[in-house]
Amino acid sequence: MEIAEERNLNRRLQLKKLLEISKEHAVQRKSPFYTLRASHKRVNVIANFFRKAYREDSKVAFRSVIMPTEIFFAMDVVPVCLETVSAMLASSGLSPYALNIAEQNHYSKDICSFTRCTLGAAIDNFLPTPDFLACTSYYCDDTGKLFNILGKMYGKEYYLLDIPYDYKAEDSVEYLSKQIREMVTLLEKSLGEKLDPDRLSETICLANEARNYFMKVNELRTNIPAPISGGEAIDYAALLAFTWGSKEMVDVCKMLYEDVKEKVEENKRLKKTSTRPRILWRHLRPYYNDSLIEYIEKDLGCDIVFEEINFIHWDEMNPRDPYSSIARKLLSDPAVGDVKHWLDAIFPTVDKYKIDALISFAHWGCRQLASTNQIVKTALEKKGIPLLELSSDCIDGRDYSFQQLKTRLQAFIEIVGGKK
Amino acid sequence: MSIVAGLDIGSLSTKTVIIDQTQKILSYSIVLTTGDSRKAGEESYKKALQSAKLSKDKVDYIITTGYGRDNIPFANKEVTEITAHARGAHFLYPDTRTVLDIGGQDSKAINLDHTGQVIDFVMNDKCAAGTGRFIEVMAHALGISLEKLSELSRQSTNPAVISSFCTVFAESEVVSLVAERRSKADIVRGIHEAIAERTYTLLNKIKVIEPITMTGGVAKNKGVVNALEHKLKLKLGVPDEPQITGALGAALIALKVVQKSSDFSDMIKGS
Repeated sequence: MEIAEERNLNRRLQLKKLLEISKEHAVQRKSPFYTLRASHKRVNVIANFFRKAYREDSKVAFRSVIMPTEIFFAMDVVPVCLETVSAMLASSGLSPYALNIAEQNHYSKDICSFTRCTLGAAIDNFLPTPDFLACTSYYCDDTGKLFNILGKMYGKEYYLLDIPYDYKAEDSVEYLSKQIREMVTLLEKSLGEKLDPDRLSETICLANEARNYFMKVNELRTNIPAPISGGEAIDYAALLAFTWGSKEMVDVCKMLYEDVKEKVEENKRLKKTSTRPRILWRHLRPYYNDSLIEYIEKDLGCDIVFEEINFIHWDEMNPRDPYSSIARKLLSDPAVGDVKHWLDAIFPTVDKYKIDALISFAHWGCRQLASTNQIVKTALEKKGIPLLELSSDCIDGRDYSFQQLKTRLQAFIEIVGGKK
Repeated sequence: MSIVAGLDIGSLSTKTVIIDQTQKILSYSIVLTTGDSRKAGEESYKKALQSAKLSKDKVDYIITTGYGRDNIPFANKEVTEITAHARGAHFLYPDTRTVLDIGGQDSKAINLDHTGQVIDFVMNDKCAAGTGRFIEVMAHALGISLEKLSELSRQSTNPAVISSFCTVFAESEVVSLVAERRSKADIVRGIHEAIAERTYTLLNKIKVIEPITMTGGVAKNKGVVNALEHKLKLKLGVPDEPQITGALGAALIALKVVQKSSDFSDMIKGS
C-alpha cells in the first residue's frame, strides 16, 4: 500500500502510456483462423470491456481466471481477467516489453509468463487502476502472490478465494459460499454501494443462457468433418474467462451457435466427409504466433476438434440460490482437486469427439500441467490414445523455436497415422 | 530392380544410404552439413551415387529426414528422424524395443512395438547439452581430437565430476579442471559420465524396454557407450556405423513406398 503513493493512478494517463508503448512495440497481426461472425464479435466484446476499464467513471476489478464474474457484472464492475490481459499483450506483440520490465525488476524467468507479463505491465503502470482485486487459489499457485503484490502497488485490498481440494463435499460448497459472501461485503465496502440481489439473479440467468448456447455448440462440434478449426475455437478461452453473466456473452454464444449450426448443415448438404486425425487439445496456445496451430491443421492435415478449455463442466445455476450455485460451479471445474476429477470429466470427450490423439500444450512453468500430464498420458495409453507433451510458452515468445516443435509434431502425427 | 535412397540431413553431418530391392546397402556417405543443408544433401547424395556407381536416374525414390529434411528439392517425401531411426534400428536389430539416438544437437529416446512402429518418444528440450555438439566443444576445450576421446576415457582412474549440463558453462568447468592439473583422461571420463547421467534421465521418461539400440554419431564414442551401459546396467546394441541409421531407415521407408506402388501397378495390370 505504501508503493501506491508514488504511482499515478489516473486511468487516462495509463491508457496514454499503453498507446505510446503500442505505437513503438505493437505488431499488427490478423488471425488466420477466424472465419465465423461470432469470433469477430467476440474480439470486439473483449476489446470494448478492456476500453471501458480505462474510463475514469468505470468500476474495475482485477481478477484471476476462474474468479466468478457474475457478481461483478451485477455491480456494473468490469472484471478484468489478468491472464487474458497477458494473452492480449502477447498477441499484439507487447509481451516481450512487459516481460523485460518484470525481469529487470528481479522477477525470475522461472515464474509463469502469464504472471510475469501482468507484473511487467503493472510495474510500468499501463494497466487501468483497479477498484478491487480478487483471485482464487486455483488454477495457479502463484496467483495469490501476484494479487498480494498488485494490491500493494495500487493500494487496494485484495481477496483470495480459497477453493477447497475436496470438490465433492457439501462442506466445501458451504465453505466457499461463505467466502463469496464475505468477498461481496468487501467489494461493497470498496465501491461504497450495495449489491442488488435481483441484479445478481439476473446475471446468473444470463450466465445460464450463455452456457446453454455454448453447450449446443459443443454438441455440434461432435460432427465429422469438424465444423470449425481448433485455432478459432481455442480463442474462446478469453470469452469464457471474462464475460459470464453479461448480455454480450449471450449474444456471442448465440451467434456462435448459429454460425456453427450453419457450417454443420452446409457440410451435410455437400455430403462432406473426413478421415483426418482428430485431436483433443489441452491447455492454451502461443498467443504471439499462429504458425504452430496452422501447421497442425493445414500442413499436417489434422483437426483440433475439441479443447479442454471449452468444456462446460457446470450445471445450470439457481438464480434463487446464487452463492451456493457459484460455489458449485467453481468446485465442478475439472482442475480443482485431484487429477481423477480431470480424468472423470474430460475422458468421456475422447469417445464423444472420436479423438485419435491428445496434444498437451505444456506451458513453461505451469506446475499444474507438468504434474498431471504423465498421469493423463498413462491413463490415455490404456485407451490406445497417444499424448504429445509439447513444451513451449503461451506468452513468452523469446525462446520459441518452431523447428523444434515441428519435428515433435510431425513425428507424433506419424505415430497417429500409423495407428489409423 | 528398385533402387532407393535415404538422406539424413542433420545439424552437424549429412548422411545418404542407397539400398536395392533386397534391402542390401549399395553405398553410403557422410559429409559435414556446415551452413548449407541443401548443398550438403546434394554433396552427400552425389558421393553415395558415385560410390555405388549409379546415375541419378537409376534411383526410384528418395526420402529425407533430419533437420534439413524439407530443404532438399530432389526428394520425393520426408519423414522425421524419430520414425527414420526407429525403422533403421528395427531393421538392424529386429528385437529392439527402445532406440536411443544422440545426434549433433538432439537426443531422442524412442519406444517401438514388435513391428518397428513408433509408439512413444521423448526429445531433449531447449538445450543441446549432452549431444554431439557438446562433445565437440569439450574436445576442443581439451585440445584433443574426437577420435581420441574413447581411448582417453578408458585410461581414467579418478573421473572428474562435471556438474554443469550447460555446454557453455561445462566448457568453462573443463577449462578450470585443466588449470587445476586434472588429467585429461579423468576429465574426458567425467564428460562421458555427465552425458550418461543426462541420457539416463531422458531414457527413463519413456518405458525402457530391452533390448536397446543406440544410434547417431555419439554412439561412435565408446566412452559414452560404456558410461551409459554402466549406468543402465545393460548392454546396448550399437550398429557398425550408427551414424547412418536414420538415413538407412529413410531408405527402407522409401523402398516400402516403391514396393507398394509396384504391387498396386501389378494389380492394375492384372485387372
